[in-house]
Amino acid sequence: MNRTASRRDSVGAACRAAAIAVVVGFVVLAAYLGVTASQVVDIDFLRRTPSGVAVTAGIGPALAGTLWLLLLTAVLALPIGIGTAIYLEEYAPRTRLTALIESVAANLAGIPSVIYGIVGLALFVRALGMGPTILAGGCTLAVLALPVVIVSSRTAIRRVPEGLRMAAYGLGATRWQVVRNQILPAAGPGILAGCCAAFTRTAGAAAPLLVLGTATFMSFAPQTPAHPLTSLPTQIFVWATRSQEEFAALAAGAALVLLLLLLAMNLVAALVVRGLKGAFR
Amino acid sequence: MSRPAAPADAPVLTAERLSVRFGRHIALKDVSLSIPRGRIVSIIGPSGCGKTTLLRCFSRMNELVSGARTRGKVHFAGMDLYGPDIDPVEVRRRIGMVFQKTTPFPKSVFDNIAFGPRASGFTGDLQGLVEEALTDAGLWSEVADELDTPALELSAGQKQRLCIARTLALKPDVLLLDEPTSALDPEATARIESIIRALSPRYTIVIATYNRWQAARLSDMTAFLDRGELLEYGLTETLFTNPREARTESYLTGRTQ
Amino acid sequence: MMPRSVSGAGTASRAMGERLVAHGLLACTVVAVVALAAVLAVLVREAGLFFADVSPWRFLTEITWAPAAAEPRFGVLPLLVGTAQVAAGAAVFALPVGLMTAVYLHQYAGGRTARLLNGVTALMAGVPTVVYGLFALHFVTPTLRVLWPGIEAFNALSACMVVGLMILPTVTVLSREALESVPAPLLDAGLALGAPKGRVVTRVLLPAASGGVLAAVLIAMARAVGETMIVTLAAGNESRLTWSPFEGLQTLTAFLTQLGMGDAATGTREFQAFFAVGAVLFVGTYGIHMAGRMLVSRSVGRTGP
Repeated sequence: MNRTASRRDSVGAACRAAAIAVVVGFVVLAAYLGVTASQVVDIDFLRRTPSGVAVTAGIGPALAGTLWLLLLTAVLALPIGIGTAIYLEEYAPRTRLTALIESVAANLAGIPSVIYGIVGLALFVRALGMGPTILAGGCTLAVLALPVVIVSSRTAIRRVPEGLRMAAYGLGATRWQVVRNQILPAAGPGILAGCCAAFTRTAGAAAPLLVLGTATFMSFAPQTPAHPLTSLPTQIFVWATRSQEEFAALAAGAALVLLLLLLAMNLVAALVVRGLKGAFR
Repeated sequence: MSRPAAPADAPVLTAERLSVRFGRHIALKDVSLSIPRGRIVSIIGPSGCGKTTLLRCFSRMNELVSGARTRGKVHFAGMDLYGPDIDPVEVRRRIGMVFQKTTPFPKSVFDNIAFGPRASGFTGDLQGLVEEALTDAGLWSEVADELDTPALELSAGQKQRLCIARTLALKPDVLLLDEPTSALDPEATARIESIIRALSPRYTIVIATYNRWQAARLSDMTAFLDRGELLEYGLTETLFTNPREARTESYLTGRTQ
Repeated sequence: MMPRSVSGAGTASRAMGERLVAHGLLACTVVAVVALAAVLAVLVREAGLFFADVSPWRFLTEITWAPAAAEPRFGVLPLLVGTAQVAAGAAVFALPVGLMTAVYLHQYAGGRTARLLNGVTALMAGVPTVVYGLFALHFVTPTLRVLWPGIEAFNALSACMVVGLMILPTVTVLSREALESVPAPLLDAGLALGAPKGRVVTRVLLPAASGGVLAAVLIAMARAVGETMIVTLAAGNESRLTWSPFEGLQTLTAFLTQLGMGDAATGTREFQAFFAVGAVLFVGTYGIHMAGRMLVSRSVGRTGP
């Protein structure tokens, strides 16, 4: 009896140790960021501009740049991605072509974001002549978000029970009425959750923006998408590459702001999802 | 079996050499039959015989399934339902279908019933229409005070009657019922059957059922389908007491199932 | 009662609206397909131009990568090896810990502990990789240098550890899903036969979930291979063929970030070299990802060994 008990404990204890290791890793990361960032973060930090002198530096332009990028991504990727998902699921006949589009989109969602960066540089910055602007960054991030939005929206739509669809058609609803009144309300929470995942991915993306060519010292916040590209993730990178500790603290401060922004975005989405589900029941 | 059983009435629906295939699978083969106005017609046969497919042909539902091919004709009051200028959405409003799996929308009872009329742009007295549909489906007395409750909270039998009421709210000419009682207990089944009987003079009703005794209890005429082919179609009494085909007889007496 | 018309004129305006919506949605699809096809087209075109100039054989066998040098050398091997080292190193940290955490979540953790752990993994999954990179360069590396003073400021070990931390949530969440797809009666049967829980886990649960766990490993590996910011920051960005975890290295992805910092002009071989590397990275991660997804779809609904 005792021997079996101790054997059960060995697997369980190892698994418990692994779980503790995960939590410890997270706590160390969070503590490092919190402690380091606390040296620099205050309200003014959000407004000041980057500077060669660490004490007067802030993230004003980078924060504005990230908000611009999020807006552009939302405007470009969400309607096109969700519209594509609806078309492929509810309108297009099931053919080899639609199956191919689905499989390619699913796999494109998994390729490294830096690849979108080099393509964005060739396409948006150079071929289309946008230059290293916020607009070029927004277009690149939109293409990066597109597969994720398409795949997660399709998955959510596909989970809607077939009976609901058929019942609505059977009552003489048109295709769009079925989509608007049955499919979208039922799939809405899933679509929103997927879009939120896509946004978390794009808001934190540094690599593709670095490739496009990012402005490292910007003394003013971007007012339009035609301004030079700057963002929180790339600002974090630029500061992190400086060897002085003061700049690492600035990077940690910017990282903390970015994390809070992502957290707030996800919390709002979670609340909306809960609200949608509540209204739907 | 006491109703006058000789349908001299004009046919409201006529299938003419109707064939349906899903990919390589042939679900219906050359089926021709007429549904007389104001009668109850049962379609019986072993599972997989094409009952549901035939029913779905009448409301052009099969084309929503990818890979479905329909050949042949269906006439509805003189029009070819599969003609080029026919709008399938309008067909489904005139020929209402209730599916085997009861699927109330995750909305209130009222919104469930109002879905069809709203979809077709109904502008009259929606409240009255909903009450009438629920009354006809024998549900009004049970839900009159709780039209706002989610339909998913109803009992199984109530859900089925809700689905019937939902279709009745379209004021269709024909009511197609696919296995209306397959998931219900005997008591709830009896209620549905009495409702179907009560609807019968006003609506032409076509029922697909695996339950041959239900067909015998309810219908004026019965069609026997086997492996996609219409083997026999006639007055229910004749079919049950004096079947022409040996396969019909063995099915009815339960020797094959 | 005559049936009302089924082809009436009242349907005309509604049919117009329907067509409009359908065309709008089709337009969305066309734009999306064109955008994604453009990604592939740019990659294929530029990589094609590169390989028209530099033979794939030289590309894959030469051992020096120096595209911007006066005498450019295009041997991708150092980048491939660097990428493989980082992925393998990250796997050493992340796979055992992630899998065991998934088992703990599935079999041992109580409701509150499970919620806490799920919350922690969700938060970790949401942290941008550039933040992990900052952590690697300014916390992990200095800590390692206290332990082993000989380590270079840019080293592979720090990058491996933090990439491992970064893919931990992926391994944990996907493995947990794989474990959850194993039917409970299978485990109950094992327990009912008197087998201790640890034995049921190693002999019944893990073998039954092996397909899904393997898929989790593959998808996590695709993320490690594609990881860019951590390796760029922590491992330096200098290509060299080395096996020492205490020295710096360059990966495929880290090299690609240099396109934004250099000034390679469109049409030059140096510019095209980035797309050749991008194409290699694309094929690799696409392949791993596809294999992982195929494993997932095959193992879903599979009941037991």
